[in-house]
Amino acid sequence: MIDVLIFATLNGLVTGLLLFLLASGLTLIFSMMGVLNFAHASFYMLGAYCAFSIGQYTGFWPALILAPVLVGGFGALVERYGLRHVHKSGHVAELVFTFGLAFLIEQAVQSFWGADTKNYQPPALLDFPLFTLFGQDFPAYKAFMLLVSIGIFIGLYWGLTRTRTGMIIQAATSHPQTVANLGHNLPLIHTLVFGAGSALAALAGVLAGPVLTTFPGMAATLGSIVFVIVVIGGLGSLTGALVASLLIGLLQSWAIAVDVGMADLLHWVGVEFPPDHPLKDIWRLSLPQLAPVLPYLLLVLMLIFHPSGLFGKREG
Amino acid sequence: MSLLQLQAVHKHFGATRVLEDVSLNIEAGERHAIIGPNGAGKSTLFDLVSGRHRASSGHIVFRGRAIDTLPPHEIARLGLARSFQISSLFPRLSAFENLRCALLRPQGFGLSMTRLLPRASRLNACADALLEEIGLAARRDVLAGALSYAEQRTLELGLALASGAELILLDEPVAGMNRREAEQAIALIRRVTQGKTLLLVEHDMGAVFELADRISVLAGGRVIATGTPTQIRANPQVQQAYLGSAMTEDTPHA
Amino acid sequence: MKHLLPWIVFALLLLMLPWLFPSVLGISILNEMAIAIVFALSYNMLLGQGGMLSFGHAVYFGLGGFMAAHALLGMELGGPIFSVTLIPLVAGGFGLLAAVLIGSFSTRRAGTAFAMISLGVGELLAALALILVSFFGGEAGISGDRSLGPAFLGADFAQDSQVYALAAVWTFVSTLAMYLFTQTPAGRMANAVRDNPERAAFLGYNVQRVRLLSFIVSGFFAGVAGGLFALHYEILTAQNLSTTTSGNVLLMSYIGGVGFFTGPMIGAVVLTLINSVLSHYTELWLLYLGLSFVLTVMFLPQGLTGLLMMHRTPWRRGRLRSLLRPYLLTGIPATLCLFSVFALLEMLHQGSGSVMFFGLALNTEQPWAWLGALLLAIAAAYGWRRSLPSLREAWRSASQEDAP
Repeated sequence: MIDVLIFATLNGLVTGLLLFLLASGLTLIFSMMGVLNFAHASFYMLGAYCAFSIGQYTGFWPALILAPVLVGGFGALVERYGLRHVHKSGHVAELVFTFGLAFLIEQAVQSFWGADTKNYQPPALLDFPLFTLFGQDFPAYKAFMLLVSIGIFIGLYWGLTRTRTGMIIQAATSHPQTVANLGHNLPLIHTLVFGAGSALAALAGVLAGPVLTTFPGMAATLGSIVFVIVVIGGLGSLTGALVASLLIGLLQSWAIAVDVGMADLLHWVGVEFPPDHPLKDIWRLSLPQLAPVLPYLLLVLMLIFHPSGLFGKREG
Repeated sequence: MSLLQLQAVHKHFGATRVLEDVSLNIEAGERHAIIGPNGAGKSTLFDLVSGRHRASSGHIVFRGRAIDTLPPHEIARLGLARSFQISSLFPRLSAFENLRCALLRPQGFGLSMTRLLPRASRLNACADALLEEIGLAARRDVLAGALSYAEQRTLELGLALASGAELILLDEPVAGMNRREAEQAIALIRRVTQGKTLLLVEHDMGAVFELADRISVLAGGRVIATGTPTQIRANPQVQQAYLGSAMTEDTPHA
Repeated sequence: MKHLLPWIVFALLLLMLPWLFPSVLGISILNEMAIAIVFALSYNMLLGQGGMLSFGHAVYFGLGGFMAAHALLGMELGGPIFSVTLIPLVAGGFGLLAAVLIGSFSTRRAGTAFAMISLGVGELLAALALILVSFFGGEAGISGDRSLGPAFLGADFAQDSQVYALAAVWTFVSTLAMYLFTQTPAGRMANAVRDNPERAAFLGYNVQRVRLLSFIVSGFFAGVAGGLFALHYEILTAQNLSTTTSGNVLLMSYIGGVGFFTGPMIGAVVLTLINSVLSHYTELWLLYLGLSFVLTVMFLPQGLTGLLMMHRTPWRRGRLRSLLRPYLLTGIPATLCLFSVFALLEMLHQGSGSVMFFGLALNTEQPWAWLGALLLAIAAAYGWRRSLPSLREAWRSASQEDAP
């Protein structure tokens, strides 16, 4: 049991921090422009696919840098020539635009990279078990993912609180007009933040591609969960995004690991149930089954009881 | 008993104290103006009375009922209507539809799903009459968002007056209007608030002295004087708060 | 009389279409259109009329549909037997019930928060559908037989054409009901709350109640559409309440134009046609669909209906003809440009070998095929851009008010 829990915790941390790479960019973009970017996970997918394709020529390491740069540039273009154009039609139109973009990117990936799963492997350098515990291997690549995510988090924190650019960005989220009056180019800041957020998402994609498989549905599987995270964490709060990412990552990982069912619980309190009971689906529910439902359940509960999220300041 | 009572109302946003120990009695049928320098807390006072914000402490009693914890729509249903300093209309509905929406509840339509608006001839006639009264009949089918600034101000006024509420709160109804428009608006307010109670915030002293039976002066979040226009004019404290500027100035600032 | 005319035309269209397209495929597409029209109209009660952007409208469609499928299955398994003409009502009722439950908390706020809750609920239901096998039937879904109910006016509904008759009646009635809703105080206040919730509150309206009412009515008609779906396909799967289905209805409504009552109907018709016709010609149809959707949001925020309605003023002034020449001057290079871009996309998709494009065999191994398409695209784009100012000018003078 203890070994299962340790590995579940480690995997949960890896997933949680990966989710944070996505959620942080999404949160930054939201707090700056007030728009939740539906296509954010699509940039994550593009990152994985670009890294896969580039990696075939250059190997993993150059792709790790090149793919995020490429996707970040694409993101900046999307902001400059797409989102900004839609901005005047209001927030709903912006949300619809990013939704359409997500749809378009998924179709494009399917059309040009194919509908099949790509054989995207971790680099040979990291393709070994880092340690073995209770007879189970923990891959070095996952440790690498952890390391990079933590590095990015520290870098982001430092960059936002200690550098001039970071200060301007922070100021631009709370007092955009003042920042513009001080002579800073607000539209340019928007483009840069959107591009940087996309690049972060792409980096997450490059890292996750070999572990979570690279296929056209990977944006949709993760996209909604990242949305859940930024809402649970509180729209616009980076700390909230971190806490919620880890929470969701760990929760899902534990739920999958701990095979407890409703029937076990009922049995434990001394209630047996007939196997053909009309509510048998509910009796038969088990935690691993519920794992994919948990984030959404959490979201709905959160929005009912505490709509501003864990660390939210402003209402959506 | 007074129609509206403010009892020791305080309001602070964070550390900023906007209103301190404000007590006011508004009698039924009077036209009461609140004046004061910018930042004196006049709009905040309206926001508290109409339920947009909650008072930090103190009580607000309307028709003998404490309303300081009620949501805006319940306060409105008790017979209170307000206008906004910055026009707050339904921009994608026509001028006519805007007024019709304001008339729905007073005319007993509520949220009916069984009555058809085109068939509601009395309601439509009322909306048209009101449109005529505020001088926007020619702009009947123009979207509110496409009206000119002055027309939007007038429509804003129309929305507050349409409700037929007993207490009407007008937040700077003539701000930004030229002399002629302001005079029309004042005449309109006079006409429509006949037999009603009016609470008015206004910078235009011409409008205030023309409309108000009583005036309260708000400065630094406190009521420093209440009285008839003549009393207020003569009050040395008020003159000091205004540094003599606005009180002697008879022309409105456009 | 004047306001009855569109309804007479609509009824005649519904009557005549099966005579014009009597083939099995034709009738099947007509059924799909009818379902899509009801679904999209119900969606626009939220988005266009009420300002609520939902990413989970398939929940009410799907739940209604599943209920209908269970009702059909029940007739097979010895449950109550009743006329299948009432199936959409059963489905609508279930959609309504779900909307009451979910709407009671989701309509508290509009905007981004509402969109997020709708997405969360949508994903929740989609995930649950795979777990709760007895109701949702797991991978296989729930299927029933629509011909087991008592015959109605001699129809046993075994054939698609009989289902069409039923669907047409339900579509007409639902469309009329949804239109009339927009003319009630409840419908008008939904517009008001969309525009300015705070002002509506100061007029004495409980904003959540106003939204909830629209939401419930919308849920009912989404359920009706789901019931029609169950009758047409006789099977419901988890796919039908997934976020993909929710996305589709958003696409339809937006491309049609959410600012107009008829917008979603036009969108439903166009998208159903694209779905069933374009997909025969190219594997990339979903890509083109996504592309046209993004371009619509960017350049035609009022959708296809908005585009049509723009021509009302020039038409009334008899100046439509003056637009013909500039339209051609822009249209030809635009078509050429899109044509060559599509050719490039098709070749890119093909990877190697040759691809048939409008009767043209394009060989991806030959550089000139790429080069030719690329050059044509660039040249046509240039011509397109050059023609825009004169189109704008012509448009301006055609739609300008006459000097008094």
